[in-house]
Amino acid sequence: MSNKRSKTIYKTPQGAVVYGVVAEFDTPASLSRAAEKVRDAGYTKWDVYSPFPVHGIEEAMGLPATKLPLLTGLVGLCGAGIGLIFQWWVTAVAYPMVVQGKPFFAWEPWTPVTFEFGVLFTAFCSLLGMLAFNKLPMWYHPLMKKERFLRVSDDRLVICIETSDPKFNIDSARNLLENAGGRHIDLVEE
Amino acid sequence: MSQASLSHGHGHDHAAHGHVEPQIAARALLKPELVNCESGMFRMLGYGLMLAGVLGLVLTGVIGFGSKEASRQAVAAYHMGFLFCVGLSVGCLGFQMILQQFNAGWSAALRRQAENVAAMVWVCALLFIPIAVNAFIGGDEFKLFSWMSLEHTAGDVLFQKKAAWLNPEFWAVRAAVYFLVWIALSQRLARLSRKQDETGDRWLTAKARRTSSFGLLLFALTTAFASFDWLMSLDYHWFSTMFGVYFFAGSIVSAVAVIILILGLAVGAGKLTGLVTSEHFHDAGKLLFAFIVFWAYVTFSQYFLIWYSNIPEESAFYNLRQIGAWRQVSIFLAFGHFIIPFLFVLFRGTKRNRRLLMLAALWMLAMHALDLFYIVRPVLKSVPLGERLHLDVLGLLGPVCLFLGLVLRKVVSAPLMPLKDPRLHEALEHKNYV
Repeated sequence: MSNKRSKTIYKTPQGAVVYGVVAEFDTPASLSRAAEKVRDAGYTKWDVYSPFPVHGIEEAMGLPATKLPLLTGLVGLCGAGIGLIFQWWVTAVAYPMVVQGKPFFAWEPWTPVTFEFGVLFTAFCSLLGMLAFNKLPMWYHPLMKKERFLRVSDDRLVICIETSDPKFNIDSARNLLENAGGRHIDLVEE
Repeated sequence: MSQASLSHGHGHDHAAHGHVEPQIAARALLKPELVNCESGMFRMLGYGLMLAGVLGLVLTGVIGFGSKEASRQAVAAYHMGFLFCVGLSVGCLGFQMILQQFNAGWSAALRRQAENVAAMVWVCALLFIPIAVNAFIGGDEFKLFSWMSLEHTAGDVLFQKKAAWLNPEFWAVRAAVYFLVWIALSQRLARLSRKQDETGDRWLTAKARRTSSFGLLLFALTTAFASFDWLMSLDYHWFSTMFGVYFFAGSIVSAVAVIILILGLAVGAGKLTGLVTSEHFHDAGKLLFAFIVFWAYVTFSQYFLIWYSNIPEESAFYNLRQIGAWRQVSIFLAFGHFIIPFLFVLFRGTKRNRRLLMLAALWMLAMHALDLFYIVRPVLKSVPLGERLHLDVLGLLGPVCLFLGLVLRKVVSAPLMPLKDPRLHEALEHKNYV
């Protein structure tokens, strides 16, 4: 997603800053169809909220493939390398000791530890990278202030188009969500 | 759309209508011209392979009559080819029984090919006859298994301790038992599946699953002991408790590879359009990848333990293979059977691309042959590596080509999918979500 933000600030008649426009949907199918419409309208700052994973929503939203596997793979390789160098330093440099007549420098006994280091770094990178890419932990989100939004953890699916989107316009966003079958369309305050 | 049908993709069937609709949709896709393979290409390829196989066998025999050493080398090369065919068919037998046991819905799209290859295990029983002949008829100097020659074992205490197990009569009886078990299991599973094509009886699936439950136990025991009898005993002083798993790991890699190749050829011939998609190749590729890693894990573990304990009886196996040219073969095997395919099949794009995955499968078949070569060939200490290499290749390719040709004839004899398998709709709708 692009990092361009809209400069315009929208305000409610009461003077509160608007975060975005929300619409509710009943089924994953209608949510996916609406997401396709929002995607095709060219919005970039928007998101979908659901109590369960919706299969195929990535394509419907037009999300790019995650970069996490690439990062995880690289960090895993680094971890394996660190494990290997660490063992070499310990057994062949810092404290060389003859064990069972085996050479100081041997790849055989080092393989399991090298592998485990790789796995350890991969696991940590997967978890922490996933959290970082999802901007988690997130302590505050404007949508949490809405009473109706709490049903997203139960039986409602929600799309929110944010005012920070460079293409954002309250009326067109409203119309788009309405035409896409959204219900209870409402403004969310920052 | 109700809540019940929403969760369809998660593998639950909450309501009856969520179950029946996709089945009807699946049946509409199963057009006869897409699932029946009367393709001329398959037949031509089958006959071509069989012809090449017979030619290879004849040439192996002719070159083998050249000298004493050449004849033993010819038997060894033929033995590798025989074990390659055993690995393919038995690997497919185990693979389909695992799929049946797990009730794996997605696998219905490719299980028929595992059934076809496994059902040809009777060919391996015929291919075994020359090896049995070599064991019982002819002079000691021609025998592939050195423990069968009396002058070799005379006064050998280590052999005498094992003689109760390692004697030609019991060895032959065991071979007969292995083949009986494999033929019975594979024929039953193939018959049940083909019968379901006609009757559509869902209970045949339950029967196949029940057969697979005890079948897997029999399979594990017979393949392990067959690998002890036919591979490990080539050097009868040596032993490795992991050897059965090692043989199984290599076999199932080749089994998954051959299934990928058959389906890839069928899709390339314009069959199964929209039925076997990149989703199914993706899953088959994941399993190929997993079994490549499994092979590496088992192979390394076997080497690692022997390296660590360093007992002469055990380390002799690796000692022989770390001297001279065999060292290069060992290193090439580590890279060719593990590191290179690991890095190649690791990527999602490779697994979802039919051509790239077929390339990987073909490569793995070649590497499985090299693995057998690496186990069997160094036993002939008097014939150095590289001498009469054409004999090694011909002896290996002869039975393998013949076997694969017969497999292709089996493939075209029935629809390419179990048409009325109750899990087929699940298999056809299957998708790999991120």
